[in-house]
Amino acid sequence: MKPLAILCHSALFPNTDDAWKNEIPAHLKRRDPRIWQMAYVCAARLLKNSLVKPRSIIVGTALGALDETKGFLDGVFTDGFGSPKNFIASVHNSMAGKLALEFSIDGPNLTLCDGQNSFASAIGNCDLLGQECFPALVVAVDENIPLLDAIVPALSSQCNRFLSGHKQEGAVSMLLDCSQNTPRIRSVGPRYAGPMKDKACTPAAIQALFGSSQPPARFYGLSECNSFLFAAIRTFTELQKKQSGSTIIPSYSPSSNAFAAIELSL
Amino acid sequence: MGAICAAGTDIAAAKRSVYEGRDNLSPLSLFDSGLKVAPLSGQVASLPHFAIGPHRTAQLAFCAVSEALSGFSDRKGLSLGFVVATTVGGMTRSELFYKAYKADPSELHQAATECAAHEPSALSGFLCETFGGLGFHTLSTACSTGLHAVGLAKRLIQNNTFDLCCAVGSDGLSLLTIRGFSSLMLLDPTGCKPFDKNRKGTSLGEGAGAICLASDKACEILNVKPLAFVCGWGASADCHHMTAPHPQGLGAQKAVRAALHEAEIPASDIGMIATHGTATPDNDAAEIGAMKKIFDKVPPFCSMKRSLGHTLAASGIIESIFAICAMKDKCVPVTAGFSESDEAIGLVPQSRENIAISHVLKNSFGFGGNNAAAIFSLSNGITR
Repeated sequence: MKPLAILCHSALFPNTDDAWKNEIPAHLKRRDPRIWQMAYVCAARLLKNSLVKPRSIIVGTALGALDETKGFLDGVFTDGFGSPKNFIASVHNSMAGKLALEFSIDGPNLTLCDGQNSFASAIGNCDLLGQECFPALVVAVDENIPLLDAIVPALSSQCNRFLSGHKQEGAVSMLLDCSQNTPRIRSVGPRYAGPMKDKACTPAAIQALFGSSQPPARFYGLSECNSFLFAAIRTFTELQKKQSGSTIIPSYSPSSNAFAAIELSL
Repeated sequence: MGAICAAGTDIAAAKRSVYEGRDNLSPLSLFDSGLKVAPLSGQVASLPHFAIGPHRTAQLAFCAVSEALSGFSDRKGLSLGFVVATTVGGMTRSELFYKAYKADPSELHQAATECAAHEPSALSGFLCETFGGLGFHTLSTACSTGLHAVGLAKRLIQNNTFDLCCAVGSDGLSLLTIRGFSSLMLLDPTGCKPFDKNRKGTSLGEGAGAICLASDKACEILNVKPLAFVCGWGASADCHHMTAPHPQGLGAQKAVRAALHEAEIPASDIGMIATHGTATPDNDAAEIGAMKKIFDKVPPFCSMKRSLGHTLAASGIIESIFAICAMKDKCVPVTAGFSESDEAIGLVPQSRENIAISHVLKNSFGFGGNNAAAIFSLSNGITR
């Protein structure tokens, strides 16, 4: 894909940011799901500093509004009645729909669910939109819920990577544009890993981006990729560092056995 | 193209039933919904013996993709990608796990496999592994997902990411969706009646559809003649309500206008509309209201929901397949369930035979105010 310019970016990590709850508007505070609130506050932080309004929204999420899905099933299995509010929010695209509603963004509204590769997949799909859809708001968001804490100890070694980093919940948002400005971002994938699996995918990810297995100045190993939000968080961190040059951030999703990679040029 | 649905386990078996507007709904028997009366649903009565996959959604997708790729056993080195549309994913298994876990938390040993299968992208990985795919994107935008998948697959061909790209929509019936739509009082206990004066809601269904798009180069190398062409795709958001459509269908209008713009044809060239037509009071009125704003004279339109059930993410692709077939067979399908016109809508679905159609419009709308439209044509474009 062609690189896209990052006009502005923001992030929200509830584990280290107690103040975010003060930024939730009153009309969203009491009734909206927590993951909607995270997506909203993260996007609001970004748009507060933006001179231009997004024309489209692309959200990347692995599990979506998991707490709402659980809440609905709790209702069905316990009381025999699932809450319609839980059901509406449980659809994977509910965050994207809510952002469109709150910020009046009436262009294309897509949600990509590619596990650990969701952020890369969202970036990649931006490139598929027409020029009239830019600037595009990209938001990566996932949440942790206590049920996952209970499940993780029971996971097999093959699957524990699937959820072991789930505590890195939060949201990362970026406003992308087709201009030649820097910093710039592009992605490849998800690509099916076949027999390569896991760490062996790193050279494949680099090859897919650059046509060679020589890594650029900075790249991250897949061993660090233990969270649905790894690639988004790492991209945000690199943007904060403002070091010149190129960085490769690979990701790998065990559930689909697929890898992806993001190149960030500062 | 390939499809499996309540009307049949492949396109040839199902299309006549769709054209004739047969009622293929039956009381839900796949699982106990816990509702007092089993809702009328579009169920795949028996999966073909060859169906494989980690869960029902994957098994349905396997059948549809197998049919779509049946003529491509030798792809001659051409790359194959997938854009996979699903809302349910592995939920059918997750529900069973969670029910068992709630009853007895020591049942955690099931967690590993159930969690991995839960993710929507697990379906994409399964399809790549099974059919030799290079890569994929997994999309979930509720009931509009399938049509977005077609549009994105077209773009992936145009930008040379893949030589062949299969847009796949698949959703199995699940407790979550049956009980969810029931909680919203969106299920008609007597079965859906699209555009009818007495419509009270939709009927859910299950199924999968696959449309394989090919580049010009791939068509030449494989020596295949395209069945039809994807000429336009449009997408928009209502910005109105999380579940209710905009009353005047403003978002729907925007999506259709974008699709017409991309197809570079005037609205008057559209010969048939395969509507979303869910049979909920608000949706049908808003959809036809939007079409009236776009067309000076609204072309013949139909809804396939009573013949297929609302197959959620799969509906955009399955219904596009039958719309393409109908265009080639020169007919507009009968809208099963419709009997009495609704003055508030002001138009009625009309079936046609021996009608020349060059371009068909397909609409799909979803929760979150999500709108998609696509235009399929008999000539010009890029798809097989």
